[in-house]
Amino acid sequence: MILSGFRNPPFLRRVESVGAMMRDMIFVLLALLMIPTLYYGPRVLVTAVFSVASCMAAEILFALFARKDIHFTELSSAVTGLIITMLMPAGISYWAPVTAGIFAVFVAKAPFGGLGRNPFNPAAAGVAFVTLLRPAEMFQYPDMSAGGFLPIFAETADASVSSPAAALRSGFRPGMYPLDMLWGQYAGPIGTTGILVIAACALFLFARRAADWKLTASFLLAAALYAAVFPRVIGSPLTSIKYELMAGSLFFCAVFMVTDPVTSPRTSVGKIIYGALAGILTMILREFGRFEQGACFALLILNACRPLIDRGVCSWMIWKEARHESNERKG
Amino acid sequence: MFPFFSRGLRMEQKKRKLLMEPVRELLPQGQLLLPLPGAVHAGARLVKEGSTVTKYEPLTCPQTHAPVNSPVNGTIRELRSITHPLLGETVCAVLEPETAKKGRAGKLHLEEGVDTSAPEGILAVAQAAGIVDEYDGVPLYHKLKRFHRFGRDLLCGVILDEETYVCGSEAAFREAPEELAAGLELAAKACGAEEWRIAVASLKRLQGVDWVREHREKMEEAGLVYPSWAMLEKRLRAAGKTPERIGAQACIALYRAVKKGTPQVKTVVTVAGEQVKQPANLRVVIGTPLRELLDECGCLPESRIFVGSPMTGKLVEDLELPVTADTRCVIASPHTREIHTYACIGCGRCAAVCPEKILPWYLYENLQRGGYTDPEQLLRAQNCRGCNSCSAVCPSGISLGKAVRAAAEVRERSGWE
Repeated sequence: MILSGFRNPPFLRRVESVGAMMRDMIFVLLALLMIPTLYYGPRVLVTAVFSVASCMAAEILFALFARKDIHFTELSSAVTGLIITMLMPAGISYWAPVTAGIFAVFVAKAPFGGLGRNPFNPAAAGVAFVTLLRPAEMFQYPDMSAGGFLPIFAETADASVSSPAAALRSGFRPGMYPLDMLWGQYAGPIGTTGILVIAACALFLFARRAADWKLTASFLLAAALYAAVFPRVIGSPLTSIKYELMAGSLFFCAVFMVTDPVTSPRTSVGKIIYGALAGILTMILREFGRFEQGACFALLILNACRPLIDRGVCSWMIWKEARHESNERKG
Repeated sequence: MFPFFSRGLRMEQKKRKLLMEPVRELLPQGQLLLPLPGAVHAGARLVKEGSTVTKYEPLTCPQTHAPVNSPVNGTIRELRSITHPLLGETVCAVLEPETAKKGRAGKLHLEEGVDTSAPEGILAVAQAAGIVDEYDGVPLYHKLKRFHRFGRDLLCGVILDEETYVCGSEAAFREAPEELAAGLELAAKACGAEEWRIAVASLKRLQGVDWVREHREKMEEAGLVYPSWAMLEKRLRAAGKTPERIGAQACIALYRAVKKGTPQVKTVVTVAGEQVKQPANLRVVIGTPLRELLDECGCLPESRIFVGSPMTGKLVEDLELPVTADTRCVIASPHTREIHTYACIGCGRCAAVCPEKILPWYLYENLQRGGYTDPEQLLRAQNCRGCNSCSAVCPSGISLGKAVRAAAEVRERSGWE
């Protein structure tokens, strides 16, 4: 389809709007939500509803507060809400996604000027905030080996299992084969365990240009390299890579959070540098940090460096251009 | 190629039906509004209000632009100043055609003793015939002189209709391929280019033309990626050539001016768009009001009309404005609600699509900051071709093309080369 509601040329454009990009994101995230729903039951969906609703409410509240127009067509707060859901453990009480959503939009996004101007990834900020508030609850995963679904409204049972990421952190080999981990039937945050589905989502997003493959590739490569050089499990470097990449939220973050165009660099070289640094920092935080997941914190730190990386790359290009120019004048 | 690796922009073509039909002739119904570019002062004009003109009689003799020849016998009713979206502020002659059916046979006004087989003679004809390139609106003789001066070795006659709807040049080429080739040969001779080629967007689309099949070695395929000339130019430069382009319609006009002694008074315009009932390629007299074209093709009321090209064209409010030689299309699209523009979200599509590897978002960011802009920071802005691809792909709907041109201007003012 061709659109023509623009004031400046070109008057005919393809529908490549922010809204369309966000719709792609939402479509993919909803597809990703299916597996945990089948596994944990409808509680996951309720968590998602709470999280999205709190993000949207925060957006409306801020617009009222700051007397600004609301543009819901961009749908970015829904994406933030869904990503927050994906990073929560399944049995967590509802205050966590709600707090994370409100913090993400009301503190990390809207005050900076909304979509496109936020320096920090809102979802990462929200999740990091909740992790700091209640670390114990954030890493408690319900035991689903008995079968059945989680109750929707009651507090979940105390029985909890440790995740492969926690096992890696304590220096053990997780109690399952890497091949089994591909299907996502293991303890971890809601949307981050279905590695195969996430990979399919990634391909879709790359093809639709809603995410940049350079970021994901450099992030994963750097993390894999780190895992191979400093393995935490006994075995070949390959085993270490397989476990490290599949455990926890790393793979999900590589596809959905590192690729956030607003908070990642805009130059190609900058993207590769940013992705690689984020990968290494995530692994360092995992190994030496307080928590078993480090991706959100690593991202927040690198978000702050984003303008610096872009500036550096552009300065390098300008220097190259100036040198080229002076060479031409001489020769 | 994967979509995320390729530069440039693929657009919907929407012209299969347009190309199936022959070019339709549209005779002017009423008064013509002939723009007289470069003739602001009375000294550059050869006519005044009330003068009677014959067909092909020159109306102007400007210093910096090609002269304008009268397309019909008639009377100049008025000289009026208008603001045309493509030409800017221009003086226009309101020409009332004579109603008598039998017109006096006209001929191109040339000085005595011009040898049309010599390069200088061809240039003189191109100037006297008032030929203007339909792709950039520059007089043909200016372009040829410049190419001669720079010593270009390859001259391309371009039929690069890779944008949505537009296919006027291609339709003109289908009608008279040998005239285009002959005109291009003349142009190559005039500018001293050793070789000439016909550059087309898609050879597949021209398979039905016998001439193309027979002269395959003279054709260059540029592909349907916009801006295709940028892509083709890069390829030819890599092969060690210095290519330049002139429009197909200008070539045909040059051939007719040299061989038949007729100036360029008509052009093929594509009239299309969602609001047009019967899209068509129309051969119209330059100076015909846009309203006549739209009425001929059945345009619905309440449309947004823009002229020029789909990517770089301008909106038209007043439909009494005339068709010019560089009006490649007239497009009518429905009024849609205004699209909200967002802040830059940093997707980098503008940089990915740019044929010159400019970083439009970076220039935009630099200019947005306000205050003094360091021209050194405006990376590669001077290379901008004005293709507007960056604006077209921006998901936030930012007019990046405008920002890049503003940046280029800042750079130029600071004396950057």
